[in-house]
Amino acid sequence: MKNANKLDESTFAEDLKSGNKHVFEYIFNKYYKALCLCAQKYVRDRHVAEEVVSTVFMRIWERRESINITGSLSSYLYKAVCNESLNYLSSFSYRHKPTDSIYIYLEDSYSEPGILQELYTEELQKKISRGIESLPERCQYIFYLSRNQGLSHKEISEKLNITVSTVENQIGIALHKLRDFFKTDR
Amino acid sequence: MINRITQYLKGELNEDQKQELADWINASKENRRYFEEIADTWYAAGISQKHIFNANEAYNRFRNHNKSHTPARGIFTLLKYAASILALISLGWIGHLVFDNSRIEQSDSFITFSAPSGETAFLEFADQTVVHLNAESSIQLPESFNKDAREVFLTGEAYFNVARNEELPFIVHLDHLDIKVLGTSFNVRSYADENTVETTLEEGLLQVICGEAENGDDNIYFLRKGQHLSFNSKTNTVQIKEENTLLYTSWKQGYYKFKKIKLDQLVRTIERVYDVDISLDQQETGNLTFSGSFFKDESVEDVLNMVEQSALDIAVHKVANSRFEIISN
Repeated sequence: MKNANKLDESTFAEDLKSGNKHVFEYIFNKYYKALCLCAQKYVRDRHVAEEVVSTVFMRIWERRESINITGSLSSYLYKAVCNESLNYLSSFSYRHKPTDSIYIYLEDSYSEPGILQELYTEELQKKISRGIESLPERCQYIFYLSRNQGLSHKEISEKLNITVSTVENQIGIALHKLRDFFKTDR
Repeated sequence: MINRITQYLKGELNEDQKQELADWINASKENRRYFEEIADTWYAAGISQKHIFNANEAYNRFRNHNKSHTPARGIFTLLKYAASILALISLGWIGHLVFDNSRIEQSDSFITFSAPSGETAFLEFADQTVVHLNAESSIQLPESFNKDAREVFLTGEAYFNVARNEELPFIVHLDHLDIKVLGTSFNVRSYADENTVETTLEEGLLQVICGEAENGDDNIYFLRKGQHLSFNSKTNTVQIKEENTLLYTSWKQGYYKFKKIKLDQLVRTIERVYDVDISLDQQETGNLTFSGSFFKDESVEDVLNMVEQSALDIAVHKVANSRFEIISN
């Protein structure tokens, strides 16, 4: 059921080398969103995240003949995107850290691909929607106000006439539940 | 700890708190994993029901500029493909310039970059100074540069992240005042159809020079980190206050936050962001005050709905495609 029209990934590296545009487009479409999410975690700006991912794809296309992908394609892509994101951050951090990314403070700023790695474009959206729908109604609403409406915890507490700590608890609960949802049922 | 992480994700931590959080993440593999999972979850939840990260669009963009080598939006990608434009503006301190979405015009003595209604643009100079242009804004660079300063002329709104160079101050010329910095990040808002010129300083030190003082001398103000200056050109008065800078700078991430602003100004902002026309049936309606926020990804209908629902006595009607009317009951 998963990916009815899935192409055979084992030959992707070969197909890319021979300049097969269909395969390239397929890979691009399949991984774009998830890779943007990965980059966004580092660079904290979605436009920059999109540029990072485009740059990685452009480089892959330009160097397709000499590229050597050992291991899985998705790991290769994630690693490339993480590295490109870090390049972006370091190009800023030696100046005056205009970016508020936590990654420039971390000892080892490269991390293993996270729980989203196996989520592909077409599944990602549905899965996230399902995850959010599975939250209790009140929790869902508070999370929506925080995440999608961008309200501060204080603003939410005033709006709903509840305490700030209730808001914080509910958002904590939402994130834990969603995380568990993404982790299981892959 | 989950609360700390959420605050970080919402951009509400200061440098010390960030360092604390980083120390905690660095402390163990488990902490690291926990942080990563929560951050992944947060970012993933943000794309729900929104059409951000559109792979098809991105692919088309990608394919088009691979094919024709014409510049498209991009910080990194453009470096390679904007060769013709780079040549055009390889002058003075600019050296090269990277732009995103912006329109370029060249006249005798100036090069103008502009962002039309409904769009924002991005420029990067060779000295790594970065400028985000908001909708309906333009920035002019002189063709031949003064050797003592980096000078630009702005109309509209822009966020500057100026690379530090003590020898070459960076000066932004506006209608009623000049802003001078050595290297820092700040926002400037100076739309011709508004009576105020505003600047907000995110870090460093900034100097505002208001000309036309009565005794002929310039009035000079210094802003510190987190301060906001507004100059009213009607009353010729200056007000300086401490303010959450995000209120003035988050637009560059497509996030518009506002606190106690008049409906007039909110309407102008929405018009610029979405390239629509909104009329008010009565002038007094424009004086209603609003606080809140919206994302550019949200539809203009949703945003106007929110406006309608947060005031008791106004109604928003769609009169035509991209034309709206706000009626007070």
